Formats: sequence, C-alpha cells, structure tokens
Amino acid sequence: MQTPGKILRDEREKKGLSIKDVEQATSIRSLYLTAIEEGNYRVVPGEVYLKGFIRNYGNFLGLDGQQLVDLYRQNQAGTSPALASQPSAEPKITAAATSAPPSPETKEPRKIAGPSSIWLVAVLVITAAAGAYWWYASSAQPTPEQAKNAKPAPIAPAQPQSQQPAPQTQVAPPAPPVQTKPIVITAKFTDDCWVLVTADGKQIFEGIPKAGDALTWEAQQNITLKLGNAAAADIIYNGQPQAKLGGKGEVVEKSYLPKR
Amino acid sequence: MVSLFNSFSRDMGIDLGTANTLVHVKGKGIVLREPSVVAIQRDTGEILAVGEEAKQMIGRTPGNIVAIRPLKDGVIADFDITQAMLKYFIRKSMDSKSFIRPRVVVGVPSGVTEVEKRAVIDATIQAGAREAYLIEEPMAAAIGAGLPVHEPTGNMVVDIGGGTTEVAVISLGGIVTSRSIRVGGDEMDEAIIQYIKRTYNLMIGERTAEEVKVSIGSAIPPKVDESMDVRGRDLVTGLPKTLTIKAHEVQRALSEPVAGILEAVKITLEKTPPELSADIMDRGIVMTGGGSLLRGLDELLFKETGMPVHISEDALSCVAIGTGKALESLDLLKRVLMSPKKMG
Repeated sequence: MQTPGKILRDEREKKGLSIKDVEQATSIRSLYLTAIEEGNYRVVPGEVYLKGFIRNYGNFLGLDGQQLVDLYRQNQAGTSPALASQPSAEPKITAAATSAPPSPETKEPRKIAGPSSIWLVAVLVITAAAGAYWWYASSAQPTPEQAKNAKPAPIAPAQPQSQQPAPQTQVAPPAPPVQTKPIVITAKFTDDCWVLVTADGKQIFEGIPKAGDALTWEAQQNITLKLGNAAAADIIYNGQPQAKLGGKGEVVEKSYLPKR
Repeated sequence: MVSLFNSFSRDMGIDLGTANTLVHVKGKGIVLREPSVVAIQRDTGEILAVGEEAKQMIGRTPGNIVAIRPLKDGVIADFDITQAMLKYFIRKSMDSKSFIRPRVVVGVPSGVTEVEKRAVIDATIQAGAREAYLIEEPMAAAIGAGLPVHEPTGNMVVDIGGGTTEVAVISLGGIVTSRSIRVGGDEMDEAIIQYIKRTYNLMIGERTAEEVKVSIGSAIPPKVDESMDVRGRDLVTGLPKTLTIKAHEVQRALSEPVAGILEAVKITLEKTPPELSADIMDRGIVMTGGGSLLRGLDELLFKETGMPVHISEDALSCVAIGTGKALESLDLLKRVLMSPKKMG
C-alpha cells in the first residue's frame, strides 16, 4: 500500500536531500521526519501536528501536501479500527486520565439517560392516548349524560390504535347488547369468512372468524362491512335480522347508517 | 430529574464572532453559520431581519432601516440587539418541538473584561438559554482543532477571527500566556480600503475589499502577480469607476495588520516559560480562524519564528466545534470554562 511516508522518502531521495536538510528548511525535527517516513505515527504528539508535519514536509518537497494528508487519512481509515480511532479518541482518554475523580460522575448521567428517556416517552404516549380518548369521547357524546352511559364505548375507538382485534371480538349474546350507540351490528358466522369492518371511517376489525362465531360492532355515524364470503354471515342490525347479503364466495360490501 | 432534562435538551455551543456566528448542536454538528448582522427599523426599533438576510441589506438600506453588526472587536457593542440576534439563532438551531431550554457555551475573546463577560452571559440567558457558560476563544479553537490540550505539554494556537486575533499557549487544559489583539479580518479589509483610497482616490465598499482579500490577498510578496478588477466611487469626480489592482499592492496594504499579528505571536512567545517554549518549538504553531487562510501567512510566520506552522483543517469552524466538544464533556471541561458563579 502506498503510504505518505514512502512517497515523501522517495521524493526526498530523488532530490538528493538528507533528513538534516529537510529539518533545517522546515524546522520539523528529524525525529518526527523519520517517524513519518517509516509510518511510525505514534512518535508524533497529536494527530493535528502529524497532519501538519505531513503537509509541510510535502509542500517543501514540491508535492501536494493536502493530497498526502488525504492519503494518510485513507490509510488510517483502512487500518485496524483500534489504531485508526486511537488519535481521535486520544483527547478524551487523556482528559479522563488527568482528572480521575469527576469521571464516575460523568458516566452516571449517561447511563440514566437511556432508561429515563424511555420512561418519559412512555409517559408522553400514555398522556397522548388519554388525550385522544378524552377528545374522542367528548366529541362523540355531546351531552354529559350520554357520556356517562358510554363508559363501555372506549373499546371501539381503542381498537384502531391497538390494531389487535382478538381481545375485542367478544362473543355477543343473542339478545342485542345495551344500546350505547346508534348502530349495532352483530354477525353470526356459519362458515369461515374474511371480514373487514370500518366504523366512522376507522378500520376496527379485520380477520377470519370461524363457523359459529358471533361478533358485535358498534358505531356512531356509519359502519361498513366487507365480507369475503357473503353467504357465511347472518347479520343482525340493531336487533333485527337482515337478509343474506350474497351468495357463497361472493365479496360484498355493505354500509349501515343509524336508523332514524 | 436533572439528567433527564439534560438528555432532552439540545445543548449548544456558540461562536459569537464579530463577522459570523456559528452554532454547534450536540450530536448534530454545526447547524448554523450566519453573519452577525441585524437589520432594524429605526423608528420603531422592530427587528426586520437577522443573519444572511440582514447582511444583504448592508449598505443598501433606506433611511428608516439600519443594518447593524452588534459585536465589535469580539465583544458586545449593542446589548439589546445582540440578545435579539442570539434569540433568533438559538430558536433557529433548536428543534421547535423541544420545550426544554438549552445549555449554551459561548466563546469569548481571552482579553475581555468582567463587564463584557457578564454582558455575554446575560444576553445568552435572556435569549432563552437555561445555563450559560463562557469559554475562552483560543481554548475553544485549540479543542476544535483537536490539539491535546489536557496534556502537560505546550500548544500554541493563533486564532485569527473577524474582529480579534487570539494568540495563546495552552497546557494542561489551561491558558498559560495569551494575547488578544483587536486586529482581524475586518482590519485587513479596512487596510485595503484605506490603501485604495489613498493611492487611487477610489472609495470601495467593505464587501468588495473582502473579496479582494480572499481572492488575491497575500501576506508575503506573491510569486505570481495576479490582478483583479474592483469597482468603486471615484472621490475626485464622484462617478463610479473600475480599477485593476495587483496582488503585490494588496500585500503591501495588508502588511500593517499582518505585522500586528506577527508581533502578538512574538510577544506571546517571549512570555512563555522555557519548558513550554521547547514544546512549541518541537510541534509548531497551529493557526485557526478565517484569517489564517490568508495566503502566505503560514509561511511568513514560519520565517519569522523559525517554527513549523500548521493551518488546522476546517479553520473557519474550529471555535464552534471546540465549544461543542466542550459541551459534550461539560463536566470534564468545567475547569476550562469561565464559571458564571465566580464572576458574580
């Protein structure tokens, strides 16, 4: 591999100069000059000076000093990471070494920072969720009495956020549940059927109920069912059984609005 | 709870320079680099523009608008406007979502008085910082350049900014000797303006002078005598005029401020204890700041002092990077900072 030291030595020898000549002309100590030529960079104190020496030496020989520094940097990046990172890490290491007492203090906040930020994020998320629920509940139920009755309602708006249909698919009793919302749809399945339910513009359920399952959904403004096998579902809309939506294997989409 | 605060606040380091202000945010690097200029409505005192936008207005404003550089020679000249500017820069470089105020480290010239320090701290706190710390600019520059400042060896840093030049010898995380002179990039521009005015009776603007300095300015007699066209107002006829100026003339014009910088370096070296002198002799001088990019300045310094001279990489952002690094290990570097409590 081409190193800056090798280029510099070749150029110097081509010009017939000795290390001493270069030392006199550039004021860089011969110790450092030979170290650079041999690639023995640890001798030079500090990377800044090393780069400066390479640049000055190169410029003195009529080479492009900046190019040599770039080459040096490439070589450093290519070599073992420990060696490459050593010069840049140096100030910190020495800083820690010269002032031993404060170092444990400085480490502590960093350790705490990780979990504490996670906690803060968690608190923020919970607050946001609570705020969203409150906003939803208050906008959906304009009167306070209704809002009180609507205690079970949060299940419905919570669904789209959690995206987990399983806990919400409660098996509904045949009798219509307590009327908390203007639209209540109960579907009994006689066969497997893919179902997508959208309530008030939000997707609240997607899944494939098995034969014999019965699911109930509620909504404020409208509810849209999309069935992959229309013959498999018996729909009960606000307590009234509905006609089959379609034949076996038929894909059907049906919207329900509040009955008024 | 304090650590929780710290993990969320966006700590920032600010290089509050005469010419440019740079903001370094922890974990993000330099997020803002804008001229330290504020444009205000003169009658109402309302702030119209800050930074780049305001710089465009310099010299082009109608009577009721003034574009001000609130810092002069590295220190606050106009408190209220500096505060407004800092507020704008802090707001701009912070996440708008973040509701925790940041801790801020500000770089100040090493030669400032207690009153000037207090002004910077107050302005920073009132601009929305939770805590404000000061760091001496040469120290920040040395940290930013990556010098091993904590080692018991001498490092010499020459930071040539817009308004001030800071020369300091640093060892064991502290400044041993330093000198701050109010000569910098602005002074060089002014020297060019004066030279052209004296020699050719031509008045040129600050921005033109800066352009001349950057493109053909040199500290030593140039090898190739380049030339450049400058436009300005003829003082005799009062009409606009174009003039071709040679690089060696610019070099002559710049000789005075450059000599000032050289002198500062020499005086600092004279005051340096011999053990550290030997270290500096060994390693050389590190130059940072925009002024160090003046062509031939390193060569001149080398010839005059007989020491190797290095121009740091990314010379323009060294101080800002240094303030940022100081924040990252704030607890370690507390002794590098000038504590606000000490100054109460």
